[in-house]
Amino acid sequence: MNVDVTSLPGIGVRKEFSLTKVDRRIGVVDHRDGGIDLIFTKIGDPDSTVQVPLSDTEARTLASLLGAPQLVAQLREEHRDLDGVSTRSLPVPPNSPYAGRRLGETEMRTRTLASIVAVLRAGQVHASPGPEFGFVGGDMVVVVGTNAGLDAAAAILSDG
Amino acid sequence: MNIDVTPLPGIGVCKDFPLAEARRRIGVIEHRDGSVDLVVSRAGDPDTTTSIPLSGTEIGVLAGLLGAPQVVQKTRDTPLVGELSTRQFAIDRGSPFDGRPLRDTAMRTRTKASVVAVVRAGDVTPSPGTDFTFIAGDLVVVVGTDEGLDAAGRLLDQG
Repeated sequence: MNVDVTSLPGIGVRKEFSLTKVDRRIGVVDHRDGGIDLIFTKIGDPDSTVQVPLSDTEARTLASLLGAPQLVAQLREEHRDLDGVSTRSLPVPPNSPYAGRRLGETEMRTRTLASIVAVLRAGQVHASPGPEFGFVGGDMVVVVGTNAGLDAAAAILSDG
Repeated sequence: MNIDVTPLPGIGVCKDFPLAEARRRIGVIEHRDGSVDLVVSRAGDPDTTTSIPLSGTEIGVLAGLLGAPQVVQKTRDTPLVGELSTRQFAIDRGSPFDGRPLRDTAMRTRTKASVVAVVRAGDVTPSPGTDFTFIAGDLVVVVGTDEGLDAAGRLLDQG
């Protein structure tokens, strides 16, 4: 896949690529003064371009939302024969009591018996994070446990 | 910011959030088969929803573009998954942990990998607690990196 990088004088840089499932291009405009726009357009129809300005937190959150489903689907497939074992991705909202705190402080395993097996941040997978791992708002936490354990884990990450 | 999770019966789940400035909502639809659409809508007007299906590689590239806004870099084509996987290890007769509780392995501390289930005679114990006692014949289901899983295998084998 080619990502086309175009300099936009006075504005920043556009990076975009063509999609395979639909006739569209998608990408971002990185503004020189910070900030990022998501852009998408129908191929051959520049008037159809949609440009969505995102804050840094919004861009990070969207990147994590995009990345989590593949990992969750892979683990679900690997655990298909294990009755009662479920995988979910759970957000750490920016207003979570654990945004800015360490994973160990959640006492997740003790309180829910569920296991945090990965954290997605800004499009990157942090596999098997240790207790010293620091959460930031917009992280997506991939947790394996029972349904009851995962419900409890979601409540902890959003409400403490 | 709140991420809203909306079940879409027969399809999957929509996870989206409102943008602070643009009066739009943005997020993903996770299909039940694991495929993903990017969705953008006008707040309060679902008729304007644009749904864009993405392949696995496209998701990785777009997530990378969104995640590293200040870095003009060569975009990696690496997929997001593959760094984490699941393996099962048998507790053999004479294993150092035959008859001992899960806590004695100190698995998480020593390997960073997670014990997510134990299978005994076909019965699954999901999320075993630290006082769960292994017996020979148990299958221990562990999620971790390749390195962590290698270490977990050695640990369960050799103590």
